[in-house]
Amino acid sequence: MPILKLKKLSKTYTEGKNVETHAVRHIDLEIKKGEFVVVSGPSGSGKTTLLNLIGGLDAPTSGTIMFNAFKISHLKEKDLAHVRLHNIGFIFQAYNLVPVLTAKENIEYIMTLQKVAPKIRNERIEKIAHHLGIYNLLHKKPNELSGGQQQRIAVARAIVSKPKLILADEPTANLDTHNSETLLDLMKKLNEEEKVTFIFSTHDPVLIEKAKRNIILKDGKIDKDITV
Amino acid sequence: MFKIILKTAYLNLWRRKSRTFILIVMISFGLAAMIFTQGLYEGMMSQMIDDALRTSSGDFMISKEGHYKSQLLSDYIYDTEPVISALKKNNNVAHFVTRVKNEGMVSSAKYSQGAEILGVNLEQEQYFINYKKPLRQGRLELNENKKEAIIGQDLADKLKVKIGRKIVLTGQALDKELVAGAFRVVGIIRTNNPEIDEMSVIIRQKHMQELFKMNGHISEVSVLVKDKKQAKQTESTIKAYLTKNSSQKFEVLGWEELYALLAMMKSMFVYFVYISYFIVFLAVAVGFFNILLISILERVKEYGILLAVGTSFSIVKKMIYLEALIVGMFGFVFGSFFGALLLIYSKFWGIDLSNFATGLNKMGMASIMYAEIHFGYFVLAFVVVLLTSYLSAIIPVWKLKKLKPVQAIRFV
Ligand SMILES: Nc1ncnc2c1ncn2[C@@H]1O[C@H](COP(=O)(O)OP(=O)(O)OP(=O)(O)O)[C@@H](O)[C@H]1O
Ligand SMILES: [Mg+2]
Repeated sequence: MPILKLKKLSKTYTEGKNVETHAVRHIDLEIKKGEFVVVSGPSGSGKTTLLNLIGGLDAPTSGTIMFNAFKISHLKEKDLAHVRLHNIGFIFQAYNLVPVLTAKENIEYIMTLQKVAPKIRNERIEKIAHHLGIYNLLHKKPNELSGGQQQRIAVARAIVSKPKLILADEPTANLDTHNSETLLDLMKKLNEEEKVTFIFSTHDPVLIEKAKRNIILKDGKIDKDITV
Repeated sequence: MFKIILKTAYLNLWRRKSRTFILIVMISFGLAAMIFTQGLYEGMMSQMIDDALRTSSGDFMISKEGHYKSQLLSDYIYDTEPVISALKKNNNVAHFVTRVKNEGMVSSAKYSQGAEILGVNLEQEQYFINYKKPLRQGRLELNENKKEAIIGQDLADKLKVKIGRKIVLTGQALDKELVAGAFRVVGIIRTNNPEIDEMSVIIRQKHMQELFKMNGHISEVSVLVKDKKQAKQTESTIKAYLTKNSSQKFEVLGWEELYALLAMMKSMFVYFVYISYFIVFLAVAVGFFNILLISILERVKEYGILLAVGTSFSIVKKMIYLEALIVGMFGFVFGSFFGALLLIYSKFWGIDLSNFATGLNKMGMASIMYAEIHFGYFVLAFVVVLLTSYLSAIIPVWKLKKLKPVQAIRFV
């Protein structure tokens, strides 16, 4: 059973009266549990829109999204928040962390919302901190961390909340090549070990090469869907 | 979970120290000013009422039925004994005095004018006319044998009489005959009760009764009670006793009926406070609202991320309300503190307004005002701060929601 199934998914933005942008058009897509998928394509091809639709941050104009055989398109905002909280992790390009909280508190945040017991929260943080080599960063505030460190904290936060799917929209856009590769390797490692499904968008050809499945968008449509 | 929301709200607050600081100063200042004004006005009002009561009716006054309206000497109390025993029996009665009252004329060598002539026993008046040390010149004693008078300061000024000079009192006696008597002025007083200060001549009760042929009778009895909250009940107890035990018909009138204007001022005061609070805190709320709005709009993307990772909007809402509330509470703490300091100072040391005193005395106010301080002021201040914080945050929260913060993330 696919973890994600998109059927004729479309998103049209209307600005003013007559200006319509078809950001995503009639996309049919299936993603299996545990896959590591890269979405690429030129700027404006609809990567962000697609990821936002999947994550319920934006409502589709038409079509359906099935998540674990459960229809999440057309859910109300409140229910979507609930689905996201318990099933979907997000890593964005920037502003991922709450600036006034420490790295540890940031990692803990989603688990707190999920009402995970404090003891278990601490155990999970210990474990992921060792795993990702971020132990000595835990008590720092985001502005005391480098871009790469911040993104690793964001990955840690996404993973400790035990989501089934992690959506990462250009998480490496602000990082140099070395940091980008480290972050990607980290996500791949977690994908293999924790069996979390990853959907990852990027422009970077080096990163695209590392993915097993590469979906290339063009003008809001799937241009190519390559599995290595 | 609440802890992390609170912490985020609290820390968010201090990301913009100067703005938050200005807000807290603004709220504290407004509150301190309001608390101070409230205490000062209430003190002033109580003083005004107390001055008026002690020099006239007391908490309530007993007289023959119809006397208050007619003010006629002929409406006197002839059956005094049950009145005295009723008052002595009652536990809530603190003090009382008997007075004879008549309207007449007072003349000095050059001037004459209408006056209210009061026949009192000064020994009884220590909790009444004497209570606030009203003497300005001369002495507050009336010789038993010589005909002496004490008069209000403004009256003395108008008549241009000094201590030692004689004045002539003229009026209708009980037998309707016009009578007159000369009295020597031995004391000049200021009671802050305009009625007394501008109109009254005080003489010995015995002399008054002789002059107006009162045959030992009195016009009214003024009563002070111990517990003011029980005053109404005491009034009716005494009224009931008199109905039962006397052949004469009496009226027992509370000060609120006798001083309708003062009573109205007292009861309107609370609205005055509410209106002032409303005006002051409307201004505070506008500033509060603006600062909150700017701060929240600056953080749209941060809230967007929080929402994206599964925070419900109601939690974000709580965060913003809490932030506003914390600022409000800081303002409350400082405002109450300074307000209380000001009130404590002016409760014990008073505020000297003698520069403005001439005008104030005419209005029945003392020249040194003593504030009051009540727990209720701080409760009201707390409620106002709570409301202001809440109301200031409503629109920023609503704006944030309309901006769809989750979709703002894409424009990084
Ligand atoms: N809120 C919006 N209103 C109107 N048009 C929008 C909106 N968001 C996106 N678009 C348009 O939709 C199209 C797809 O945008 P999208 O951001 O999904 O592309 P992208 O592949 O993520 O691009 P990039 O690589 O630059 O991030 C673009 O033409 C964009 O201008
Ligand atoms: Mg994009």
